[in-house]
Amino acid sequence: MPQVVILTQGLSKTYRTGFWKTKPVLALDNLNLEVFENEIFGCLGPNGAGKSTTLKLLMSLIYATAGRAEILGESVFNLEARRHIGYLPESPYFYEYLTAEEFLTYYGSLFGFSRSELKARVDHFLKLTDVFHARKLQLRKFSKGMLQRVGIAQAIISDPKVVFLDEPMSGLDPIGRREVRNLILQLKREGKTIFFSTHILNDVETLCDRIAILNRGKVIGSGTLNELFDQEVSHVEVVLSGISAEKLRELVGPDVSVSQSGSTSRLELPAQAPVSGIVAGIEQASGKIISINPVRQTMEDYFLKLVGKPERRATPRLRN
Amino acid sequence: MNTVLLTLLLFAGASVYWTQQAIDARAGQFRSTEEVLYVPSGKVIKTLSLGHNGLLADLYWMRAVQYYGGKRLKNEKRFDLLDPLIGIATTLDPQLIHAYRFGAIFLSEQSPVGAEQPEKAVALLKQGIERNPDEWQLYRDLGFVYYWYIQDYKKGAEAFLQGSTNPKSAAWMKTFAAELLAKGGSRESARFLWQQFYDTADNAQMKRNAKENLIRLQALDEMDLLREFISKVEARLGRPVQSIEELVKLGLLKHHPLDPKGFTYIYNPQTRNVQLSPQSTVRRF
Amino acid sequence: MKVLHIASNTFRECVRDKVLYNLVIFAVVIIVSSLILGAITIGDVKQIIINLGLSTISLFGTLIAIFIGIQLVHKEIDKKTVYSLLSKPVARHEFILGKYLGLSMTLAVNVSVMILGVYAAVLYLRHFFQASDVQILLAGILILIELMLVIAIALLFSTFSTPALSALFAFCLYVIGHFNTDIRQYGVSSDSWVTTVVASAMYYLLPNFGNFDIIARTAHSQFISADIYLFGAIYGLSYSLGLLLVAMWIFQKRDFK
Repeated sequence: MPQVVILTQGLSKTYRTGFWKTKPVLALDNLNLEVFENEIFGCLGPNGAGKSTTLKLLMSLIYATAGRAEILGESVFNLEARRHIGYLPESPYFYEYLTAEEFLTYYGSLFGFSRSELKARVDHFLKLTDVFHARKLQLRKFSKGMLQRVGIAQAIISDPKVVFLDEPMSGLDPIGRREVRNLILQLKREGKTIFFSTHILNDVETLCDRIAILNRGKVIGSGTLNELFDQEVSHVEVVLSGISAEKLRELVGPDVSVSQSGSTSRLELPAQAPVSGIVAGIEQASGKIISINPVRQTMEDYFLKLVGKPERRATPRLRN
Repeated sequence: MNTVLLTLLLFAGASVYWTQQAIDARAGQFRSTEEVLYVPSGKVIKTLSLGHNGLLADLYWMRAVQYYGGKRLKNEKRFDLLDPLIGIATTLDPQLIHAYRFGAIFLSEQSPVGAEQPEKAVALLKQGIERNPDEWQLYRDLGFVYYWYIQDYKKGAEAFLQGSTNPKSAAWMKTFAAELLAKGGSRESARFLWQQFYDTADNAQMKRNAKENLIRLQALDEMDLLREFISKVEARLGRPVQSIEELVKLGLLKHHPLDPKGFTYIYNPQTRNVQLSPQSTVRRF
Repeated sequence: MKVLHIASNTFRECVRDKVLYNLVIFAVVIIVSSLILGAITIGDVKQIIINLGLSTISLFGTLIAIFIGIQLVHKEIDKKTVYSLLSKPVARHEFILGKYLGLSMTLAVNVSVMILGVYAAVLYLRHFFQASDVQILLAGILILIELMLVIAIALLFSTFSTPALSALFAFCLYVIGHFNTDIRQYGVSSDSWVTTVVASAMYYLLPNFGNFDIIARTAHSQFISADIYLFGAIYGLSYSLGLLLVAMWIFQKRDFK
């Protein structure tokens, strides 16, 4: 039975806004999460869904209005437990007057390492995140990608068991994104548990073992990708030319979607439709098949379906 | 965590309160006022005030009044700071007329009522006159200081005369000048002037001080009357009177006369003088 | 221990702050110019040097304390460096204490340097020291404690207010704190007992900067008894402690959105 590393029960956060602090805004409602050891867990949702709120509650940067959260079996307020936790905040800005080396040394000193051990760690993680060459440079001179990597370095300097990353790929170019992705996979290989939040679906698809989808402060889906949506073929797309729309309609019947674009026609056949029979019929009617494509439901489709539904605005959105 | 914080906070608060009291007890309540001794001059403060001289003048004036009237430690019986404080207040606001008047009286009065520095009072009033030539009452105050405290009748008369040249001045200024020159003033005029001070005082301390002086004048009058009476009695009896009780026993007086503060008058047969009782709180100077 | 690490990083932060350098250089210039001033005036030049020197240290120290103090916490919250810092095994109150000590250490260094400057000027002028000159150092220490109180005020506001408002409040408290004795005297002489009680309450609640007023007496080489220094120091440190505790409490309770 895999160990539960992160646990939330009924975790909720209501902000009070307005001039007199009386208007309540529900940022997170009754979050029940379990994250297991050595998995990469993704927290997915549009802006304002409550992802950052969840992370901040877990890092005890904000206080919950209801429920509780535990990391590695300890309350999130436990100071000593933080030795085993690493955190990279969203769009981090670090002390620009410090060099990378000074910065990591400063943060590392808060763990109480001996001077020699601290130096060893700082060098090791500077190299791991490929910023060793810039270690004597002040952080104000760092590019966004380098800052992000320094950020990961400070998150893992104590060799934590759990690493929390808030939108780790945001604002990065493709090279940067790949570097970060590789680092995350490396961390998993070392046995760590990674919890990260993002609104980029592609990252979730390629990295996560399990995910939770948030919208408007509520969890609207959680589990493995396989559990969540059917990756079976949803429909078959046939592109052809040379047959008129009416003839085509005769061939396929009323249930099939037909669209025309110039001289080509496009058919969306349901997965269980007799594809070969229809293809033969098209050829018999002197039509030319351009392509036949089985289409799987993408994550994006699933996500948009879940999230894109226009709902009645019960509570106003909160900016992440 | 909260209880620790609260106890520490209470501890800090108590420490603040206790040290503040200790500082007040040792350094005196007027230590901020004492800084005035080290300020170069009123002109410097005026420059530094950046246009807020009116406000600062009020502040120093208020400090002067508090300084004069405040409770004092044993070593604070003197009024060394009164002159500098009023000096600065009037430099900052030259039209602070009541400050000149207040300063004139309390700089001149003898200890423990005042600073015993009538020459400083004269200097202050002369400054006031220079800055406010139209204020005839400052001449009256100057003349009064010369007359009552310094007993320089000539200079006093000069001041009254000068003041009387102002058409707004009171009519008696000229006559009083003449009286001063002729016979060194009279008790009537003194009473008149002190009554003036009493009536025009805009300050409780000034009023009280004028009243004390009026009471003293009244006592002097009563003592003169008693002396006269005793002489007449001695003439009739043909022998010296030993004490006032004698007169009461003889039925010549209905009861033992009391001074305006309610203490008995005493007759000294050696000096043949009526005096105030040693316990009496009537001012003796 | 962690408090010291945060303090030394704050020290480094202050030292690399341009604002600090400008103010310090300006202060040194003024102390040097007091020598020139002394050459062209008649009267006690030594008194002018000590007066000007100590007043400059006090004034510029206050400016530094306010302008850097109001940023101490606010900048970390604004730039979100506080997020990653507080995820380490560091308590929130240790953070506040560390920031306070860091700026205090910075000012301690500044005051020391400037006091040395004053001593150097006196030595240049007189070529020897008197016994009473030790009071210059004692005055410097008391001024430093006064500055630590100003830092505590600025830091407190920094935990919940914007820099602009914090500067305003800190400055107002500083000015009112110099007229505290007058407020109380006004209350004592008032007829209404309500005014007296309110004025007395204000006297004890508001910071009483008059308790640190020893510059003029030091300049006149007057003897200042030890308990003035002692009680002034205890007052300053106690009040600072109280403010820090409140700052810690506020910082502990808040959400970092």
